[in-house]
Amino acid sequence: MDLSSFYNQFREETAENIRVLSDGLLAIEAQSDEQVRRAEVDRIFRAVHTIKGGARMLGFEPVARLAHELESVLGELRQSRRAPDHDLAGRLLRGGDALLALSVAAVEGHPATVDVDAVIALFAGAIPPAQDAPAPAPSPDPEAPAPEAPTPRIAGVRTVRVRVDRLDRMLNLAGELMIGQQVLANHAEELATLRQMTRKHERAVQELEGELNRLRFSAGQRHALDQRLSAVQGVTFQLQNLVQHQADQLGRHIGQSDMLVRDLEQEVMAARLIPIATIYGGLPRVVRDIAEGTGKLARIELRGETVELDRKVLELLQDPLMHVVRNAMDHGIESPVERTAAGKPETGSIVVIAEALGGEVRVTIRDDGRGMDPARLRDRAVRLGMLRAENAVRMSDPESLDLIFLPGFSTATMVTDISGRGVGMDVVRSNISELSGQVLVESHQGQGSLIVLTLPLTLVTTRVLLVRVGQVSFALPASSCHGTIWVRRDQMRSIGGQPTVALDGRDVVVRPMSELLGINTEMPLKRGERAPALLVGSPQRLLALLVDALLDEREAVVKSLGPIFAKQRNYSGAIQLGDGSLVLLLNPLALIQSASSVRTSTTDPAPAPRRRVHLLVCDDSFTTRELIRSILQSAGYDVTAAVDGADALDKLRAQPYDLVVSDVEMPRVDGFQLTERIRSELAMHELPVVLITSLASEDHRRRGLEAGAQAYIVKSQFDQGSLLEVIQQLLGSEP
Amino acid sequence: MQIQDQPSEDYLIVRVGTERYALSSTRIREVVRWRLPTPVPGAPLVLPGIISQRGVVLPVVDLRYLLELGATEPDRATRLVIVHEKQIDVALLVDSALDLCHLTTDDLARLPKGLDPHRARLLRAVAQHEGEPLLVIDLEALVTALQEDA
Repeated sequence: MDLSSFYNQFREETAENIRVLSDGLLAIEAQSDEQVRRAEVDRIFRAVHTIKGGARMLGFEPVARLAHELESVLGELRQSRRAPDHDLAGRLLRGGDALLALSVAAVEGHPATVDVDAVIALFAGAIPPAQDAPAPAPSPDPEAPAPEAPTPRIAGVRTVRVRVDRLDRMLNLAGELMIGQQVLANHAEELATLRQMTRKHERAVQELEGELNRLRFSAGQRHALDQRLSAVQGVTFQLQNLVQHQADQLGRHIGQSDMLVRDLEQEVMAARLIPIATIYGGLPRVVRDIAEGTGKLARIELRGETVELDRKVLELLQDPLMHVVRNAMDHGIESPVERTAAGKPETGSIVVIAEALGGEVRVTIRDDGRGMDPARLRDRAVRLGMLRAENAVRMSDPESLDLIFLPGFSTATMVTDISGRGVGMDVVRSNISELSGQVLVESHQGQGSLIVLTLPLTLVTTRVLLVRVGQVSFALPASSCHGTIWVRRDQMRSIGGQPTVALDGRDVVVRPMSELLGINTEMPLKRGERAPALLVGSPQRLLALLVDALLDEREAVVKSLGPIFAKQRNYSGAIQLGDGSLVLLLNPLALIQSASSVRTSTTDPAPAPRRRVHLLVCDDSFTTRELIRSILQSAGYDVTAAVDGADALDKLRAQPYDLVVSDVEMPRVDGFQLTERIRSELAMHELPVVLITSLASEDHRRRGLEAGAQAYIVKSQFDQGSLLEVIQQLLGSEP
Repeated sequence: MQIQDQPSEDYLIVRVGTERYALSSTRIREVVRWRLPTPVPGAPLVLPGIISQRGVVLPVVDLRYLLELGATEPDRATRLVIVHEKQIDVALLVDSALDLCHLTTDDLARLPKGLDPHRARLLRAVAQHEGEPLLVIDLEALVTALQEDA
């Protein structure tokens, strides 16, 4: 008989039974009510017994042998021949781990790394008599609710096992349907346009009719015209009715399929939902192991076990959650002595709460330990070379807490087995933001820390912001964006060599998105007075990313770019718009990292090839105008000519220029007036203006500068070289 | 050394620059007209962007850059050959798709020595077809090279 089809089932069942064993042992320790304890022992006995039976049937002899050994120890516990003391519980837990490892090895058909006999030996030998058993170690809180036996979630409903990749595919297809809905919506819009056009058409026909009625025709002509007109009107009427009918039908269809697609999406999602309790399982063990290893006392309380999350969310949440709890134990909770001295109860407390809030799930991890010391975090960041000393002085306390998310940052002075290996909170944050979630940290020295993980409930669609950078559209997860602001050029201040704007009393660094992406395009602020910017980063360390335009906010299905683009860390995928075009989804975290690395690693990014510089030459004399134009053109500039000041103003309104070269004496608007009006009327305060004149007096030179010109060249001293030199100086670059 | 285990196989002949290349047809999903990909700023030149084909995002791979042949503006003959290799789908940009042909193991010869190693690593064999040389592309090596270089 082929047993292989039972292997996977056995493995899963065993994993579940080992979980029952671990949870049960921990619950027994924390439980003082004899009856409840007894029930728990019965439960874990049954779990181990089931493993033994299964292993025997499938011929996994080592598994069966070890299970048998555990079973007999548990049998002694059941008959109160042994006491469930701390030490025995520890050995049973190790036995459970070995059992699981053996089962997996047996199912997968590779040799086990576990020495069965050595594990069995753990339980043989001296059986400590029951009366000598020490009291269960971490003093249990009598108020603590007894851990509930995991009851089947939906009793009575028949279930079927579905492969995860099949569910993933279903989720993807549901997403495709959502895109299809957008395409349909586009069609509906086109139909609406068509309707408007038929109305216009009708009006035009009516007007034509009115016009014809005013003209004189013979009776025969009039009759023929009326016939033709009524034929046209008939068609128009039919056309209108048909378009109207189609628009109504399409509208109804869209409404209906919208509902179906949403229902489908919800069902597919629901099929992937798993209660968070499945990843809570390992946490009490972590706390217990660390408590044992460090001599600390702590209790963990888990709330909101029934909150359900998407399988993928849970998968990516598991490690961060484990890590945060580990950190709380290792760095947060103090030793009993320290706690007593601080007037706190000996046993520390870690509380994990999961709650569903609208479309989000919030997981809060709170400890009552020593909290984080912002000054210590700053010191450490400076010592590790992650922060400059002068910046550390300026950094606020809430901002300092954010330092723990830097890669390689760890405050454990000694590398321990538990944490402090420098891989930690940065991984937590990147995992969570991969899910379009957020991590917040709060800490009060002496009172403890609070870490809040916010996660989306669904992964079918992600809310994104669409922005334009240069000529290209990009999307950002809306969850990563803390808001949008207008950055005005005259409000920018340079602090420590970085352009910043003040926002709610804080200085926020401003960077053009194009620069971070390496797109050759003009700075949004080079032309206009103000430009929109997205606020990204953590609330403590915001960064304003300048873009050319904010386009839209919408729901979108995010698709992977695949392994070929794995090294392009700036992008986390692509989304498809209703018209079928793709838009890259930016990864704000990677962008922020590249933002800081550009600043620190190089003094100036390599000068990107620029677009050609465009100059405006203004002179009423044809000869002078053409002379200057040819000089500038042969130097590599794009040149447009204006015949006088008024013409120049018109041209400046129509199109941006990089610099203006102008004569002074001109009809209508002269050079001085032109300069003044560029500054006042057009508000182009930065646009360089070079005046060229035969008026060599000091008085005129001063007038020119007062009007706002940057340079004043006298025609008698005029030569090609000096003009080009001045222009280069003003533009700060070669053409 | 035996170059290939199977006795014979169908190939798609494509033109890249002025040269003719053969792609194993078992790996080809479809051949579509060229369309402007969405550029990915920061990606190497060989990857001009991404396209969406039946709901899947595919990287476009410019074979002309990869094989270090001159690139021209895309025209009506330009095609994207969508291949599936090593669990990865990519759209190969070629100047045109010419024909299908059937090659047996006997038609395939070893690559001539002295070929530019950069190009040679992407090729599996050389064949004679209708009196002209035909270079057989090693798609597995190509995808590996993309994963390493990109």
